[in-house]
Amino acid sequence: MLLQITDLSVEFTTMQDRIEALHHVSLSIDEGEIVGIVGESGSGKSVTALSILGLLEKNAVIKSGRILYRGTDILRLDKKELQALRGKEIGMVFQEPMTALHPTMRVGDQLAEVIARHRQLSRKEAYAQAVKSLEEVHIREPEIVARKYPFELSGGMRQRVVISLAMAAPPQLLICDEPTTALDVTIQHEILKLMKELSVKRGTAIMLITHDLGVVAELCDRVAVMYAGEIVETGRTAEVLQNPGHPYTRALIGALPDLADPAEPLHAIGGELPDLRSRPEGCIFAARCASVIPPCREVRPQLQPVRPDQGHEHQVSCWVR
Amino acid sequence: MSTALAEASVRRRTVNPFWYKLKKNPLALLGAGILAVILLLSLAAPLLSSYDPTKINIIERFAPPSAKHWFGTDEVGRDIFTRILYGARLSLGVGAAVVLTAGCIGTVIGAISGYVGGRVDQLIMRVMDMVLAFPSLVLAMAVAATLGPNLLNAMLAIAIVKIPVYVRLARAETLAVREKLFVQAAVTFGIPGWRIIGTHILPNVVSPVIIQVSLDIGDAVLAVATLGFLGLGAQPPTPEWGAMISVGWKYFLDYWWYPAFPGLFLFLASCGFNLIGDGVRDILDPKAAR
Repeated sequence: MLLQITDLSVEFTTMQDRIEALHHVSLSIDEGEIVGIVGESGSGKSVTALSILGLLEKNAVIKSGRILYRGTDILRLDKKELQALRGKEIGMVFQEPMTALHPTMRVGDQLAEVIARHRQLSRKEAYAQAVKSLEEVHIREPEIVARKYPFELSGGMRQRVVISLAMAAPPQLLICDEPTTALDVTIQHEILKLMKELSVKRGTAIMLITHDLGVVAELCDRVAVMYAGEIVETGRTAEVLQNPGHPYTRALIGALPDLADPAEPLHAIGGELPDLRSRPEGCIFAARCASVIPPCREVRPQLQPVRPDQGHEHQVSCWVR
Repeated sequence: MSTALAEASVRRRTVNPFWYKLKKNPLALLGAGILAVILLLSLAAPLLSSYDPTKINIIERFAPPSAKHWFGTDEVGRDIFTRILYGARLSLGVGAAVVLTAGCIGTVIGAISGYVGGRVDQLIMRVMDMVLAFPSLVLAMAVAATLGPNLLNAMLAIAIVKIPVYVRLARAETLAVREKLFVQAAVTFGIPGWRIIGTHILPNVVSPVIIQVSLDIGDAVLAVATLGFLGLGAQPPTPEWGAMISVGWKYFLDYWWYPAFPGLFLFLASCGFNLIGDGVRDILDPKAAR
């Protein structure tokens, strides 16, 4: 097991309120595995990612839980140990490639700096490696691109550069926070293909945060569906998508536009996220759920195997079966 | 193919937007022109004048402006034009050196303060507030008087007074840059804090610092002259503008040329710096751009 999050709860304190952004989240990622985390905005996907890197805002408090990376609890590391982990063991790719690069530094120099640091190379060797790594993310004429500033590159190119920066060490785990959201649809597919390729080639595990089930279907071995800071369903991608156990997962799948019938209106999920200042007693999704039954509003469901006779991998927290 | 493209990208960089915009700003050009003339005159001083700026010639004391002595002579017969030219090297050089020193030190302190935050930030900023709370000239006088009246100490005093301005400026800018995604991304790439301050923060906070530096040099030239005027800066017989005015104003009613010409040059130089400062601000500050 590469990364194991158990029972993680994170709370944000503001002047008046405490907001529980993560509620007893458990999640694991194996070496070389690609795990998707899906959910709408505000469901706690990014907070999960930032907790792994120790980059939460100062007003965030870890209420409970552990994040084990190869057996060491990341939450107990001091600043220096965390710093050694970042980039070298765990890398991150952000949503906006437009602003994730140093604006006044040439792309090649940025890459060379990170490569020199992680691989203990001289500046010159690192620059040669930087050009090579640009080639690896399928940038044509890497020598020329290496001499350019970020503003001279397109969004897709920049995201490729960001990926090669994050993969410089290369890390064992790459966290990608909506890596393709800000990109063109045509570029999206290529970036996803690239990430898969790098993952296979380098044996890097990927934690892919997205709200796009299409992306999950294309790339991920396993998927966890998050809602309001809780994981409501998890399992092998194919199984979850073909046989969703949670009404929220079903609603997300139902919200995908149907290309076969373009005249059909888009399906939205009614209502909005609950107020996280006070979590409801029962199921967190009850207020928006179409198939709500009496216990839903009173007793909180736990993650349970959907079909215990067929293994424990596909789990869902729902009373309705 | 690839070399042709590379050449094209090199050639394109020759159009520098900074110079392009500067050319469209007549006042800044005027300032630059004034300073260029003063600078050239001072560099060419040995060629333009055959006099020694410190050599005493009692016979020709208080000679009025003439073909022989363009700006007249002082109370011991030294050629004022010559002294002004040599003094320009000192006054302008010292002014620039002081502000550049204060700017560099202040910016680094400010960037560290803003990036590290917490108690370090509190401590640094409260010390800076203390320095800022004093009237700057009074503080500079106190420092210069304590250290002893000479040019180096005067420079030090003015630099100390100027540093807090840069600290605050750089810190404020750092607080904004620190939150930018590319800085946070750099953290996730595993770049250590001191490198982030050096390569990510500093280059992106220098633009307001450059504006402040260009506005401050004129001010510092005046401050050096002021300390010189008060007897806390350059000591005689060093040809420094402030010191010349200081001695000269006593003779103003009888020999007007003595304080008037150093004063005129001081005025022109500080005007030049301020015009350039305004121009640089117009160019570098996107909010002031028309």
